[in-house]
Amino acid sequence: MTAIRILHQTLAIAGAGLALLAAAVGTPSPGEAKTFTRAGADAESAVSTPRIVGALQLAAWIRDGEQPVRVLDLRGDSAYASRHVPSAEPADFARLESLATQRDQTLVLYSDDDVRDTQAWANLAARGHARAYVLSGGMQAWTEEVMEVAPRGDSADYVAALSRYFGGAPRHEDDRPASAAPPSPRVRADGDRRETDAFGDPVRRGC
Amino acid sequence: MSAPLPLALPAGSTGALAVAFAIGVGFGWCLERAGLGSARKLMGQFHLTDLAVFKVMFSAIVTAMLGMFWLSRFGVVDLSRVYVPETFVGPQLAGGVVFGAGMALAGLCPGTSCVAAATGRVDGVAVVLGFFSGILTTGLALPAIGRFYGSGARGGVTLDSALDTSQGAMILVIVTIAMAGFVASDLIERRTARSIAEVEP
Repeated sequence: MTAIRILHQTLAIAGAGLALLAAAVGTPSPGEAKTFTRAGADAESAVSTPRIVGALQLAAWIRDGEQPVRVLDLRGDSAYASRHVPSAEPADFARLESLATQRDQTLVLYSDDDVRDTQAWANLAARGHARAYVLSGGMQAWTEEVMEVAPRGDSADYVAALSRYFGGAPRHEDDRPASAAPPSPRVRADGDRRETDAFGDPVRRGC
Repeated sequence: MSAPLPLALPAGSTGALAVAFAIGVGFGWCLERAGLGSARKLMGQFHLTDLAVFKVMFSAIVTAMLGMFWLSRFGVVDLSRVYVPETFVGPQLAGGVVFGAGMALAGLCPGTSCVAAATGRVDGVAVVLGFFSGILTTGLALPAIGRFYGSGARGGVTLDSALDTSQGAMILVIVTIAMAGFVASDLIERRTARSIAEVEP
């Protein structure tokens, strides 16, 4: 038996032994019995899967302003100029490092294809950004779920108000624009007739 | 760079690029020493005369898989920092077919073509130029094929999550498949050699 064959067999035995031990311990992280990418896993552990935020949630974050949110548009300058999520800034990979300097800042990334934003998210996550999110569905989701949403169910009023806040045109289930029967603008006591939403906030015209 | 090593180097920094360069040099050196810069070596895979590509690649997979698992287990690397590329079923199936056809026709894959080009082989240079042209063409055509390009998205799927098993159990399955594959490839190589010897005495 040649030396190289003995080496091959030794490596094979070592590999098989390590694999058997791996199967016995199950997980590569001591004390954790979960995988890194399974849906529904704890978000802090599942950092190989992007942290996702829905369009409505993002809209609520921006409107309520309870936590400062920085929104980065990764679609390129022409697409950004055409339309964008209100308060979003145009960004590209080359500028990510200079744009996202505060690691504890809430960042939301979006694009058209969920590829660029996911890659950018991975880049930021690898650099320790714990509060970076990807806007699920990108600009299309913002358009469909906020600007042109057809609210239904118990939260219909809330969603419609959120849409109107950003200048959206929420549709009724029969597809008639809500503007066909618009709610009367609230008139504030001081006589200011600026249109307000269901929460009494001035309607904000967005993108 | 989404390296799992505890380097704390920001992406695009000189340090990160230096580490990436060093890893690239090591990868190229290993490919060259394994003989994979030769199109004949790769074509042996398809003619079942030389299954070195299968053995080298599967050895690398098993080594990396076991290494990452146990280094993570001992707290040396942070597996959560490893980016799992997203799965796009249709586009990746189509890309696989194009890639496989190109590999069989050229006798080189992207990594080995770079190795071949670096060692001065004209076929390697041709393949490198070819795949850069393909990347450029795909980029230019992206607006037209964008819908297909992003279709069938399944997120960052791993085998253990898809099969709802532990990573350790999945490792045992893959290592078992690899061992069986190594034994089978040796048998196939011997059988092919015997057949050739009978035809060409």
